[in-house]
Amino acid sequence: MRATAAALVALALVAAGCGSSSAKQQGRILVVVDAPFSQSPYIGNTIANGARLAADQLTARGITTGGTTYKVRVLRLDNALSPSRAVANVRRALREHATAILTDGTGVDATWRLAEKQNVPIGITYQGGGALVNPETRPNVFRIAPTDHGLAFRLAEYLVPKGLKIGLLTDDSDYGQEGRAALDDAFRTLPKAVAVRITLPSSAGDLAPQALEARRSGATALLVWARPAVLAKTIAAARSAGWRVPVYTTPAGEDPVVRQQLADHPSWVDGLTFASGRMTAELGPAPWSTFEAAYEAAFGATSVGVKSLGRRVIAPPDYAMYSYDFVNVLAAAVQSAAGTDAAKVLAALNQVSTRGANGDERGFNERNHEGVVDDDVYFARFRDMIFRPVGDDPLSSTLPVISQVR
Amino acid sequence: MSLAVQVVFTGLSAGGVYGLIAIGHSLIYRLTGIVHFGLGDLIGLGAFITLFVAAGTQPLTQETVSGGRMALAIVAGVVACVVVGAAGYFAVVQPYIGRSAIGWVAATLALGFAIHAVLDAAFSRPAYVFPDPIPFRRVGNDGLIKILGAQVHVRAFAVIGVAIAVAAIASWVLQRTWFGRSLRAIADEPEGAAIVGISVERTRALAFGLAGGMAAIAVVVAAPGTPFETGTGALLGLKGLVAAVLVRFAGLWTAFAAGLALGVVEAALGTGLLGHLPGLASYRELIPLLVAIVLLAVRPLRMREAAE
Amino acid sequence: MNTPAVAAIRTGAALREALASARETWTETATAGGVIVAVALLAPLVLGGLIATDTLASGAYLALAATGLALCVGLAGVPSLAQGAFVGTGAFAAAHLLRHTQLPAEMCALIGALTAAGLGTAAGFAVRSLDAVRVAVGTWLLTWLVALALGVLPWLSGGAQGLVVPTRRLFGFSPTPLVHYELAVVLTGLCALAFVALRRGPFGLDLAAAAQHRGAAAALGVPMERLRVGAFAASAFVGGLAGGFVVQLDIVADPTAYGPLLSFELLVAVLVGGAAAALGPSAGVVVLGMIALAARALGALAGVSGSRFQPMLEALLLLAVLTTGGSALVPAVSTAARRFLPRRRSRARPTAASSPKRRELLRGEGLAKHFGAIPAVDGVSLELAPGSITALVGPNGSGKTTLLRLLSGALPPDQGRIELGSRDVTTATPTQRVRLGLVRTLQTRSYFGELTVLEHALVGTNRTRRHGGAIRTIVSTPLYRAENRVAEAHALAALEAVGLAADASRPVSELTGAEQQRLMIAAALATNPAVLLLDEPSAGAGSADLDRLEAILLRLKADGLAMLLVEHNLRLLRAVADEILELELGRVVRHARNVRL
Repeated sequence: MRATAAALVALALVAAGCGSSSAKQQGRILVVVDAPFSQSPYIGNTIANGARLAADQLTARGITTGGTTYKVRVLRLDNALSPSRAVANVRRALREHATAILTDGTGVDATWRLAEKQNVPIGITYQGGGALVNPETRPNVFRIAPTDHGLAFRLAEYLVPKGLKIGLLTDDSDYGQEGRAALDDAFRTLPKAVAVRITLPSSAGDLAPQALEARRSGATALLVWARPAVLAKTIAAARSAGWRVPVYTTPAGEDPVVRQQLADHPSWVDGLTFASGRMTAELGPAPWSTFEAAYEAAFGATSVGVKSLGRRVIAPPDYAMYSYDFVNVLAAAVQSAAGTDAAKVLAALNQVSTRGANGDERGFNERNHEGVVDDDVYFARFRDMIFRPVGDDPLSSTLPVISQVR
Repeated sequence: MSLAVQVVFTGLSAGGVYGLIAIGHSLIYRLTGIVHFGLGDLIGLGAFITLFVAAGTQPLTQETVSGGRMALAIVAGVVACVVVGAAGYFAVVQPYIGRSAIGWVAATLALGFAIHAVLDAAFSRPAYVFPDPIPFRRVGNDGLIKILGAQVHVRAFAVIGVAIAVAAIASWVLQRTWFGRSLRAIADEPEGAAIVGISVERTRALAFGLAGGMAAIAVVVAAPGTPFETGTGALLGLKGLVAAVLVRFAGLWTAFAAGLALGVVEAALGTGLLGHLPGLASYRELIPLLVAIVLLAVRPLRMREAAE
Repeated sequence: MNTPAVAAIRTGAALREALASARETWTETATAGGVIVAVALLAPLVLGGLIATDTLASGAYLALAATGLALCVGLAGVPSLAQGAFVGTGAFAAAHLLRHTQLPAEMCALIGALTAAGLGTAAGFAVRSLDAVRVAVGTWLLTWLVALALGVLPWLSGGAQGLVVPTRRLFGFSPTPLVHYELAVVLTGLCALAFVALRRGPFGLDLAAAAQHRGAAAALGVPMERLRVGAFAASAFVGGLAGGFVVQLDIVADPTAYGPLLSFELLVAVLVGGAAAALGPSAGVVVLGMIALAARALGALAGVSGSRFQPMLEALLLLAVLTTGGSALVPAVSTAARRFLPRRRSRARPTAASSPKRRELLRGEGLAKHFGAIPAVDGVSLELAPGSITALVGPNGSGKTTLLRLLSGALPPDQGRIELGSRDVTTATPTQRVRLGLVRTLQTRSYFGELTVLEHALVGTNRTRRHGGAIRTIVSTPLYRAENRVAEAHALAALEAVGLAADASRPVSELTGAEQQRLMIAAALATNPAVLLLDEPSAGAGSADLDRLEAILLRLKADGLAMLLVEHNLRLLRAVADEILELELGRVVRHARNVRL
């Protein structure tokens, strides 16, 4: 009797021991977000929150591969729009054995080599400069964001038929310089359409001289490719000189900073038209709405700080989509590579694809590291501090209006 | 012609602020023999305190701030300038005057950077918009009126007017009141002033604070024009210093005029009024700085050189 | 016989002598310094886990720039606010060179440093006068000029994104952060050594004298403007060197990183750590590093980036240091340490030996000087013969002091000539006149308060040296050291001549008023003059002091010196003067021989 009991206890212990030895090991996927949190909080927080949403969802679901369960962690580092800070941040990320680095694009020209030595992928989710991403020379740099090339060509395609003489205003940040290169490319065959090209100094207090120069050149429309604060100053300079020229711009136009700085003159914001990556896809608005709801549940709606006809205006998390998608692609790559070994993950990134937040396929291959198709650019116009897709562009006119008031 | 008119009004309005700051620098130099490197940041402090009292750290529009609250906010800003200016003087600057140059240089710099850093920590957005103290938008065409073919801000007139008024009040104080006479006595002959019973240090401290407060008023009136950052105060302080150096820290109206001239020259360079050289607009802030440095090299400052 | 063997023996003897001299002057401070440098070199191995090596390397370059700033602030007492601009100049010059040429990395950094030194020399000339306000304002404007220029000129700065710098091998090593760190520590150590050497040598003494009493230093012929421009250029060079290398560590030249904030941080490091101590700035940088850590912790608490709080904490630290009287870290530590360590055995002093004498005749003809419409000196001629004392008397405002200033070179005459021997010195600067043997003492009590009596006299000998240049000082050549001993002997002789030799090691502030007047005469004697101009040496002297003074003057006269004595004291005049010139309203109204009883 006693012997049987002892045998049963021993058996139970062995069974328990076997059970625990087949328990899963813990692993960690670290995503470092290197973005200008202090200088452009909207951009920084959008990228980081999108990544965080994906990380939380993935950790809740659990990524299990190669006998290990992975949690996804997000670390925020501020680069203050300074390339040398970006270098320091990437060095730190590498020391902490980051699985991937998400960035707005600041300083990638300097940091990609550092990451490449350790096969760590860099994902750009804001800047669209063509020189930043090059699968042959920079095998570890990827992007999920509208490209400058795409934006510039779509803008040219949209504006030239209107018969306008366009003043190309770009600022001296790398965002603006890359945009300038893309615009020069797009308007190369249409020299008559361009009235003047002006570089806006980012650090100038007021841009009245540049606005005046544009006006004297005979421009009948302004295409401004600059960071949001500079865009706001340009609009203010033109409007306060009494110049009612139509202004077209890049996704910088939907940054809340523009509306905040022009809050005292809502009429100056009316008519501002910007190009951006489409939020909803061919599948319809449902996936996007799901994503937006999840985002707002986790982080609350991003308040722009102005009112439209008495109601609070919020900014839809469209750029958050891109960092969200990148983390999902990364997780799929880790799954495919059965672990976080850097070289394997980097190779796997060129193979996998996932469904993006708005329903589009997101994935890369050896020849293409761009996650957003060039043509997926639409146009939206502001009225009463909120924007709606324009009616005179074939793609934009098919898109639904996204609610921006609460 | 219309361009010239625009340049003149834009330039005078910016120059009014520079002029008041130049008066502040000049006053401090003649009273104490030192230059206050933190004066610009002190003015920034006043401007942001005004913003804070008016509307907290949230974005705001014309509609959200009432006239009474704005007036209270301006008063709060000026008072903050005076208090912090005077306290800073007593705490760190005064012990080093006449004794150690590195001491007061470091002290005024540290005050300036400390204020800037506190503002940076408290106000985290890249730029802030000030409401107009008076709703200029209602005048003319959305705040603009047409003069000689140029579109001029109504606000420009207000700034120029306020600047001249403040300078005139300061001048009256210096000439007519007992406080002003004490200041002039201290500037000419500190030992003699002390003998006569003037509390030299207290007067100096008060003057320190008032110099900042005076300029803060003009900044608050001018600020609504462009987005105001935490670093704008320091830049304005620099330009006021340049104007004061250009006239070698001369008397009140000379310094004011130098500030006005600096504003107009900057605006002129920026709009190519003085010739349309490519890229000259970028140099509009650099040229006055360079001229000031060269002038400093070539000619001595007004203060009497220490006796041998 | 100059065979290689003899040369080898000579070099060996020189080296042995250098070693002996080094051992003699070795102090605990030097040991401490050596230990600290050794620890610093090994720091990455110890701290590698806690602090990233690239952060350490950045900090070490900051320490280099700060040590350069100390050359200006600590050694020359110049409140330079432009060090950030010099670092930025070096950085961008090196960046452009690295991008557009194939020059080796070290060469680019060196050329960057030379560019910064050029800018520093120009700035030094711009603010060479001794007005602290002018220097502070001028350098502040310069710092803003460079910062704004980098902001608005994209061809210079590469736009807001900065210039990406290609990485190249550094002294044959692959440019990892560790290599940068060790390089920075070595350079900082060398700079600190140079600092110490300069401070102890004639430069340091001259600069200290100039900082402590401008007028007295000028009277002793200290070439203050030249020294200050030199200090400026040197500190700019070191700053530019730091910039040229740090830009290679950062891989990108960032236009926002080299502005007023950097100048401020470097000043904080220097003042907190100790401007007069060689390793003070490095200690200050360590403190700044700790502040950065504290800021990061604060940031983590508040949920924002720590860099928001960093300038605030730095400024508050500086304010705290200033309110508590400005005592800096390294001096405080070394004062405390000195209490515990045994007193250093004092070095053997060389015996006093006077220099070979110079004897010249000074002639002034038709000297005139007007201030506006008022003639201060109106057609005065005089002759000072060797071995004679000429007294200059007259009521206040008669032009006596002005005449002295004309003769010593402090003021240029409107008319007239001054000849020393056969040389025309009418347009010579005070420094040149002191070198030729014409020196003056001042009327007011003017001494260098923080020096010892011997150092005070040594300031005078600096003008007689030929091997005291900066390079020789730093490298400590045999000629330099030999001249040091000779200078000290001469200074002791000068002190003996005025009866202060026994007080050689005492601080000047401990002397009585009359003793300080005699010390001024000793400093003037140490310049080995032919002609001595004395301005009221008996001011404040009691009767015993007057006797002593009389004996000194008579002895100097017997020695063959030519002297001009401005005096009110009739007793002294009658006792020593050979001739008496009476001035009134700038003119000589009486010229009499003094018949002594």
